[in-house]
Amino acid sequence: MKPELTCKEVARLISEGLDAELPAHERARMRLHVVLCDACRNVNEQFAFLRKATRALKPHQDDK
Amino acid sequence: MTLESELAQLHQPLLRFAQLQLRNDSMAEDVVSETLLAILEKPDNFQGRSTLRTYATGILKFKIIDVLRLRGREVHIEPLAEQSLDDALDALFEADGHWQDEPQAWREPERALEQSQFFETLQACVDRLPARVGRVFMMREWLERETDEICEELGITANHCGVLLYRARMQLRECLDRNWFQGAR
Repeated sequence: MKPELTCKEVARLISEGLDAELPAHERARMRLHVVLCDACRNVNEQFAFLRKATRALKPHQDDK
Repeated sequence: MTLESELAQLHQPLLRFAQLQLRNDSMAEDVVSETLLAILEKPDNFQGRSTLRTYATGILKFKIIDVLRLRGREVHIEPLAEQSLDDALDALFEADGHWQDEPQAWREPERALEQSQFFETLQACVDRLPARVGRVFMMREWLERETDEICEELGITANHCGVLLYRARMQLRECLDRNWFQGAR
């Protein structure tokens, strides 16, 4: 069994998972880490939020 | 307000957005003109369904995608040393892979989505990204294009694409944390 993922690896995997499907075992290890680590759980939620916010972004009107 | 004056107000913001995506002023002017023209030609298509801004932005996105497709591989983004990207991000972590500063929870992020000021902050954060990083991020998250399409168009590897997106997300997370959510904690 490989050693546990580090936060650094997990942050990258969270990002990758937003762009492509991760292999099942990698995804499971990443999710396990997210369950156990507050900081990475925050990042997981925040990356998802960032996507939602960016999709709602419109050209601004204040720079006329 | 007449449709003409509403569109006049939207002109600069739309142009700025197109410029960010296309990095070419005359192409940006063209897509914005085409967008305005499309609305003026069929104003009935718009009525009542959404705000004019949302509607115009939707049309503009499609026009931008068309241009990017046509332009295809002509415009190469200079390859960045992937190593230097990783190095910059390394600084956020300890040598053992733990966070230097553990990211904290954001309080009620959904409420931020109701505030126009929040979107101004997000836009400012995006504008601050290095041009290439910002462009790939916006192609992915704003134009909602598939990653392999983006890589192919920019002539970069999937891995490099992934690094650029990761970097954008990390930087934007930091920027929003510092400039928006920290104040709310």
